[in-house]
Amino acid sequence: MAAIDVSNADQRTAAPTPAGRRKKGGGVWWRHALALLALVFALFPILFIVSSAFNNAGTLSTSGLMPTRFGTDNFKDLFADPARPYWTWFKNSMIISVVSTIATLFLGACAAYSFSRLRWTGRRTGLLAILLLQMFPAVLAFGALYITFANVGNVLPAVGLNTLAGLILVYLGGAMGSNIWLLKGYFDTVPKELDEAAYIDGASHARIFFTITLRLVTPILATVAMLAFVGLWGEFLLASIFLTDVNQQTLAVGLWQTRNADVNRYFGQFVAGAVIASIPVVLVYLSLQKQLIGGLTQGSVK
Amino acid sequence: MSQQATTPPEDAELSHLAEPEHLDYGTRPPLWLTVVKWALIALALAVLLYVAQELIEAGHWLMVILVAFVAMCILAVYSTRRAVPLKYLLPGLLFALALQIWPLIYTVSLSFTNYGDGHLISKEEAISAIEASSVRPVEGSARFSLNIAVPEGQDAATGDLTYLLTDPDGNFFAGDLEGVEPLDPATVEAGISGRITSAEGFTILSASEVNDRSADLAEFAVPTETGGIKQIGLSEAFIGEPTKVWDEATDTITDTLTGRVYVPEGANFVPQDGVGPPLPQGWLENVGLDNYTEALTNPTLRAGFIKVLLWNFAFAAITVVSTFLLGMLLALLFNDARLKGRGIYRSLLILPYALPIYVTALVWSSMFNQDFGLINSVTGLDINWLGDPWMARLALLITNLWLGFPYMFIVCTGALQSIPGEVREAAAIDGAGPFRTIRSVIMPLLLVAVGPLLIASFAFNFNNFGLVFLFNEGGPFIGGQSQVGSTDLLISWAYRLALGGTQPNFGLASAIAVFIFFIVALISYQGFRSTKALEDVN
Amino acid sequence: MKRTTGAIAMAGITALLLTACGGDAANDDDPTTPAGETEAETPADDEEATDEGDAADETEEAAEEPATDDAESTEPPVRDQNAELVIWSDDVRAPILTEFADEFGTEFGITVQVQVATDVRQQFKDATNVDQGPDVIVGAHDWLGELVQNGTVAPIQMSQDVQDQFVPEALEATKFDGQIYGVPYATESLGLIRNTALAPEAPSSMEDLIANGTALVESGDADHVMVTPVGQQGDAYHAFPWLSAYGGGIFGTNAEGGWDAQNVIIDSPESIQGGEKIAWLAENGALNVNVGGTEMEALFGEGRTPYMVSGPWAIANVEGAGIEYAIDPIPDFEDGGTTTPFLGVQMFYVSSKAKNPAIAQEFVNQYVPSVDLQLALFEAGDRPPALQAALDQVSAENEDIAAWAAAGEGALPMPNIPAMNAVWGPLGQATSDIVGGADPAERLTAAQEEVVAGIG
Repeated sequence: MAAIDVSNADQRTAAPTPAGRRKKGGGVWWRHALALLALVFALFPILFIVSSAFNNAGTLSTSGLMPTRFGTDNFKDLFADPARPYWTWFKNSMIISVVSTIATLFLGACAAYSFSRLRWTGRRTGLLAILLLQMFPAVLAFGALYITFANVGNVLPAVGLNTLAGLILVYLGGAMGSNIWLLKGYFDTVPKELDEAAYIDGASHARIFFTITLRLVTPILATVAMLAFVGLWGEFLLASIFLTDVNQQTLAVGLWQTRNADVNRYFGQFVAGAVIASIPVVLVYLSLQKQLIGGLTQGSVK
Repeated sequence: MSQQATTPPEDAELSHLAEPEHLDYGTRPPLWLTVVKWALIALALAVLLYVAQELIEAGHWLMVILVAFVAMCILAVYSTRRAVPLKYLLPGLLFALALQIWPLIYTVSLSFTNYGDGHLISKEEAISAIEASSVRPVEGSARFSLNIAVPEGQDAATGDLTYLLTDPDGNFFAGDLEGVEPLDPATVEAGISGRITSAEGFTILSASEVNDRSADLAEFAVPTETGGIKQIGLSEAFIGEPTKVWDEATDTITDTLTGRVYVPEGANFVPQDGVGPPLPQGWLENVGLDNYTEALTNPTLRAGFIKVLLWNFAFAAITVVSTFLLGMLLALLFNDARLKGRGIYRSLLILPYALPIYVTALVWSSMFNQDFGLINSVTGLDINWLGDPWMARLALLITNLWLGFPYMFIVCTGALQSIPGEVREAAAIDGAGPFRTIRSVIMPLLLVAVGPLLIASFAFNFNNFGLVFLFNEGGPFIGGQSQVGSTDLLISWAYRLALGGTQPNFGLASAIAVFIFFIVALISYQGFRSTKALEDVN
Repeated sequence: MKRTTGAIAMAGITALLLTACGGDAANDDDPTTPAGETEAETPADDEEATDEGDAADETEEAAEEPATDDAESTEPPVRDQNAELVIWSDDVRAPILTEFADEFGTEFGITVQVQVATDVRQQFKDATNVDQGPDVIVGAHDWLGELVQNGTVAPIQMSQDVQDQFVPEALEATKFDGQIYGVPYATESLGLIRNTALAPEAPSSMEDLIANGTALVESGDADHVMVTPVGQQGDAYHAFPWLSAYGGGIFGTNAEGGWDAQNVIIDSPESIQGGEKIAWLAENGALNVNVGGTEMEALFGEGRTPYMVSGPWAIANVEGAGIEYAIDPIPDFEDGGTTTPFLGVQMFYVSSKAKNPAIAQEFVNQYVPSVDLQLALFEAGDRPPALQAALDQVSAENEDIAAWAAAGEGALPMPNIPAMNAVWGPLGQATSDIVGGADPAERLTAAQEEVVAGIG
């Protein structure tokens, strides 16, 4: 499917790299062998999921790969069920994930710039604090967030419970997370001489940040964007506490609810929904892959 | 805390400037940029002003002060040329304070209370819940058809409430706070069921109007000789009386049916004579350090602690190492331009990451099933994966490797881009084999960038409640008990312990979490000091 | 006298507290609200509401009469933004409820919202605690103890006439400490689902079932004698029919006939006798720790076993798998052991902090006990209705429902006391261990100790 595009894109970027050609051409086969081995490991559980999505029996068969009753009933039911507005969930998830990812990326990049490039006291403590904060079992703090937003909603209904905006705000609280470290680490590898030169030329810190630094760290921005997107796309614990109205719910919450509804009754629909839900993640990865590889070529030029 | 407030205003537009080559750094920022900057500051302040206004209306003065403080911070940071680091940090910082630190403090504060099921409400609420639940119909009393009215000429929203009642024999009454008065049947019209539909001298309220008077109606009851007449919904009434009554002077509750007296003790009303169960409705109160004492002295906690702690460390450490190694090796493998079809490989490899954990954990758990799972049927083994403690641990580690390696793969792929190709070329020229190159050249460089993430990953997996819960709920439970599972992490174990009783105690769970936090933080801090990651911050 | 009145009035004090803080216009943008209508029509509304309140009365008397077939309600109602009824339900029942709630709303001129909550039980507790809960929830009866404990549900003062219209076990399940807290609409219990291609006749006893099943396995027509969820952690709900076969169980009863948390009977000789039957079933291949809910459905759906012990929720997937099936009560043991499953009851609760208590009580007391609503909810859940008249009507037309109702006869309402929270884990694990070969007496005694310690 979409993978065909990628191979083309990949060849375009990969072909001109001279470093690879110089080495002996043999030895590639074992790379393919290893790659295939990794693929088997990564994919065989997924084959089960796909198989049960196409199984009209609506059950998960773990002893064989072929659906006992092949068919697309699960998908039909999924899209036709008025109690489970799949595409509304899909849309909500998209809005939340895209907005939060972009905002997270922006906040994170700004903070990382400050940690990496600017000199101020408390940097070390700040970085450590960010890391140590992740050690608290976050599940426990969800109750507190819930109560907080219930009160916020009394004053500002637009960002209270059961609103997408409220949930996005909550997610932004996580922007100052361990991603800062990843960003900062990469920022550190960008030669400082570049900004210093620009600074001497009279550029402001903001101009350096936006026009020089950010351009050089695209690979890590792509990486963090990917991680943030996947994390947000699949997040359901917080979302299920916050979003109680079926039309406000995200895909993860809706699917979780579908799985739990009436014991196992909607298992088929649940699996079918999960399979479709994984497609955007792959698409996001594909669209960001160019940035990742772009970094590679840039790095080798210098 | 609006979104606008989080955008460093002066910076937002700069990214749209021309290509860097054409930049003339010597000039000052153009006028329009300054205008935009101030416009954005003004917008942020306007939003905060709006928030403050709403807060004032709601009467939250402390919050108003807080918002004003934030506004001043924004003004101070962005309107001057100073405090450059803060310009970049402030938005993220505000979010982190409001949405990470604050909930954490709140949670920790709950560990000093008995917060949990049965102890969620205040004592007053508990008492009124006890009394409300105890209202029983008076033995042998009649049911009435009901309509609710106010005396004619009075306003529906403020008039004196009156129940228009029809008893089962078809007699009509009007009841108010003074008591019941018979109504002359000639002045009354009634429906088939006998319910009064209009009565002279009264204006009947609509459903909405009745609803608007909910507060008044809650306090309203028509006194009779046997009890009070109280509505049920909009069209029925009964004579009821509470069978449990609170006495304010002695702070006791008396059950009028049995004569038993309940006294407050440990945030519940318990029988004075010590016989029988407490009343179910308890209340929230401060318990000081009780939860911490409990966490330290609970026999089950003490007995299982070391075993769970050791496994918890092993689980987190092995997970981090295995996912990192696999992720890194795959990243290296696919970082080689000679490998055709890398795009396909890569995007397929991240699929485990793309599916929600509650699907994949379930599938893995099924695959490890001894009788029906794929793993035994493909390998021809008959391993009791989920029933044997060590096999269950192995199964959990394999599952978590599968779930976690794509993350490391993505991170390493990203971080590898910062390692210049010449480094590897140089190592190869120096005669280092591929293994050696990875071990002594690439890994150290990678670790600098990825090291902190490994620690974060350690912390995450140390508390990976979701996986353990979804995979096998911490099982198997060996030795004829159900408290300590072989794959239990501290957090899942603490959860079962704190929340598994008759009155799940969230306060205790919080207290245990505080202990866990200190353990992980201490270990991580030590681990952290031994990495080089912080060195270049000095 | 005065004091009684005062205390009666206290009944609504929580609601009072709440109305003060709540009532934000959450439904301002409801697209169905005609914009132009305002006070001009209020007098008409007055009359109309009264008439229709009357209609609701008639419904109570003659339950067949649809409450909403009221020709007079042609006038569009005036919607009062504050007069809302908010109902939370799971996603299965929500669409059906919406229809009825809308009719109810039209009749009384109020706005009604039916919302789908992911986890009604937890979210109701959370939301009510921060004053943002609904007025009415739809849920299982075994939540009751927990909800009472937290002061979140209000009693239902159901008249004796209405009480008599329900299936007695269903009504019994709505009581806590002698007080009714909900209006039931459906019941569910475990039964024996049989693959009619493999086993055309209902087994006469568990021994008969084992014999038939074993014969099928030996002839190669099936792989498993019977399936029901056990799993490594056990499943006390599905193990209960065997455990209780000789009068054992979990709790004894107190003087008022309610469950007594202080009287745990898991290690009683009766329970142990039941535990021995669990061991016997396991020896004969009817119970297996490697069969959980997922495996069970797959095995039965693939026609690999003639018998499955499960509930109405499993039928959709059996049909999806194309298996011809029949439903029977779980057979008894030949030595006189009577298998007794748990009875689960689905019901409507009214929040003690309802913002619209009068309307909520009206809906639950006058609308839920109607045949129409109960029939409609049956369509959504495939469970026997709790209202006798509705059950009779459905049973006459629907074999499955008649069979489920028969399977549920004599079932014990699942204990609804909060202490059950301390039971599921230890008892489930004990039954799983017994299936795995542990000694029933020893294992149940250990479970008893754990449960008693958990209850505290």
